[in-house]
Order: sequence, then C-alpha cells, then structure tokens
Amino acid sequence: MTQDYKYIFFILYTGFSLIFLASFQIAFINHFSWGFNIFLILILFLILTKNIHSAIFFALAGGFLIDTVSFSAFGVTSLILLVLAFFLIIFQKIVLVTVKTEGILIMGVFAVFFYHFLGWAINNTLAEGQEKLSFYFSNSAFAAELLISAILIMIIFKYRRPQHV
Amino acid sequence: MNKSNAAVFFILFLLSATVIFFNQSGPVLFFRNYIGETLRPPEIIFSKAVNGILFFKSIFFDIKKIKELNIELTEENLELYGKVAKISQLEEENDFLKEKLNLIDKKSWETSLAYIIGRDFENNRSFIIDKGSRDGIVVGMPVVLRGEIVVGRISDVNYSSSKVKTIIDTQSKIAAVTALSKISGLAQGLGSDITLNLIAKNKTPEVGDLVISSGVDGLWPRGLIIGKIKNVRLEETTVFNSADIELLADFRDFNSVFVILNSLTP
Repeated sequence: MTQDYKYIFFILYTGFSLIFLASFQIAFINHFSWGFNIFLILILFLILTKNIHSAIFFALAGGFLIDTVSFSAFGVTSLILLVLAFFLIIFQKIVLVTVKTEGILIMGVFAVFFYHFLGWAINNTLAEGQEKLSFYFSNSAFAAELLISAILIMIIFKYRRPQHV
Repeated sequence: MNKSNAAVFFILFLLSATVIFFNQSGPVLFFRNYIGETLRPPEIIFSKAVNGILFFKSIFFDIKKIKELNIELTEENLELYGKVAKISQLEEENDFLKEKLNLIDKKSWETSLAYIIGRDFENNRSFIIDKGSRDGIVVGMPVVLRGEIVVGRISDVNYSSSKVKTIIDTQSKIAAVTALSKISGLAQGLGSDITLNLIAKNKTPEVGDLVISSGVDGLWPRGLIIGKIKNVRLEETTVFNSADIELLADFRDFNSVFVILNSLTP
C-alpha cells in the first residue's frame, strides 16, 4: 500500500513539475530575447546521469507542452527532442568514456546546435522549403542560448554529480 | 541504448510522428486543448510576474532611454498636431460627402482585448492569448495592436486560450498596398522579417512609405497597417521587384493585443 502511495505521489510530482517547468519556460523565460530551453537541459542532465527512460519520457511530454505555443505544428518539438535524446544517448557513450568536464561541455553545445538544426530540418520539410537556416542560427538569442545552456549544465553537474566532473 | 530503451524510443517516436500527421484530427485537437487549458493558470501567474519584473527594471535601468524617447515623441507630436488638423478637416468633408451619397461606414470592427500569457522560444513567431472559443474567438481572426497595426492571425483555439501566429511567420501572406504610391504586392513573413513581394517591375515604392493590407485576398480586412518600406530591391534578373518591410512595433514589447471579431463575416 505504501508503495502504491509512493507511485501516486511520484506521478503527481512528475506531472506538476512538468506543468511548472513548461509554464515557466513559455510565460517567463521566452519573454526575454535571450534564454534557454529548460527541457533540453533536463534531457541532457538525465542522459548524462543515465536515466534514459526518464529522458525519453520528458522529451515527449516536454515537447507536447512547449508545442502549445510553438509556431510549428503540434508534435514537432516532441519529435525534435526525442531524436535529440536518441543522438545524445549514443553520443554520451562515446564522449563520457574518455573525457569528463570537456565531454559535458561538448554535449551541451552539441545538444543546442543539433536541436536548432533538427528544428530547421523538420519545419522546413513541413513548410515545403520555406524555412531559412539563418533564422535558427544567426541571431543573438542562439548565441545566448548556447552560452547559458553550457554554463547551466556545468553548474548543475558541479553541484549534483561531482564524480562526473 | 539497450533493447528496452530502444523499444520505448521507437514507440514514442511513432506517437510523435502520428500526432504531427493527424494534427487537425479530433483526438489530437482535444489533447492539445486539454494541455493548453492545464497550462493556462500557471502561465497567467508567470506572465504577471515577468511583467512586474520588467516594469521595475525599466524604472531603474531605462530612465535615460525613456527621456530620449520622450523628447523624440514630443517633437513627433508637434508634427502630428498639424496633420491631425488637416485630417479632421478631410474627415468632415468625407462625412459630408458620405451623407450626400448615402454611403455606410464599412470599417466598424468589433474587437476583443486579450492579454499575452505565453510566448514562443523562436523570437516572435507565435504567442498565446488569454481568450478562447468561450469568448467567441475562431481560427483565422486577425490580431492587431492599438492603432490597427497587424500582429498576426489566430492559428489554434482552445476553450479559454488561443495561439496567434505573427506576420513574420513563413506561413503568413497578406495582400498589401503602399499607402502613398498605391503599389500592390504580397507581404510575406520570412521567419524573422517581412518582405513585400510581387511588386510590378515598373513600380518602385518609396522608402518610408506605409504598407497596409489591401483586402483583395479576402482574408485580411482592408486598411490594417503592416509596416513601412525599409529598402527596395531592384534586380535585373527577377520578374518582380521586392522590398523589405520594417515593422512599426516589436511584438515583444506588448502585453495585450486586440482580436478583430467580425472581420471574417461578409
């Protein structure tokens, strides 16, 4: 019975966390011209801490929540985050064997680049070639996101998982 | 990636692809509506918090900018006084002539004020407002700022919130005409900018001329302000001329918009 309660609380906690993070992203962070993607950082963190199942689940759920405001078709962000998670899982196995801090930093930068590239590739396919690659990369928001994401993931790892850094 | 993870990934990947493919189907719309409604209360709280923070930030950090802007606006205001006097004279004449010809004023839009409660990550291509189907909002309704400046159109509607795609989105196309030189074209979103395409080769719009919706597409009401001509591109190799349009306002600076409720009705 206690185990059942634990499960119920865990599901409720996860649900509320998702709602909190998504609304914070949509209504707070996105208001500024600079920012970062909370779910991208969360997925990266979960993959680096080997919580693969959770990472895949958060990619899907987070994507759907973000898609309520995204200009792209509903489900696109989920697909982007899922594909990104897939590549990060593979990338993590290669990178984290040899390097630690540098590996985390490289993965952070790779994640942001690949997220934007996938965003362009999928939206461009759906919009029949009308999306410009420059829109996704050549702006100050992208540079800020790259920097903030890398710094955040480094800070998180420094305080949460000191054995990895 | 082990077998179990790969299986979970594959199933969820298929689920995402299915949702994209059946984007406008009943179950997907219901699911999206449900998520939108769930997110609405915390989004309102966070948007109010960010507006408060930005207000106090502007008090402390933007005083110099506000002062400069104030001087600029005072000068502009003086110029506008003269124009208003001229326009009011013309308006009087216009009313008199309308009365003589028994013409009805067609430009009587019913609008609904809506607050922005969420924004897209990719610049200003879409945002969420706090009005939905319960307030009479339907897909396709034009969204404007005060002064009838075009912002975008309603793209998705939930029960108490709606998504607006702005005119800089690549899907956005508005039949437009320049206000002074009366040159027609098609205002098209480029993702981060907007351009006036399909300008006849022998026509050259003037830089600074206002671009307004012409209404010939039947989708946008006539007379809404899109922006002003920033620069004209005349190329020998192209069939049409084109021009870059400068938006009159940064959509990020506004917390509220107006939805035109009755422009779609004939």
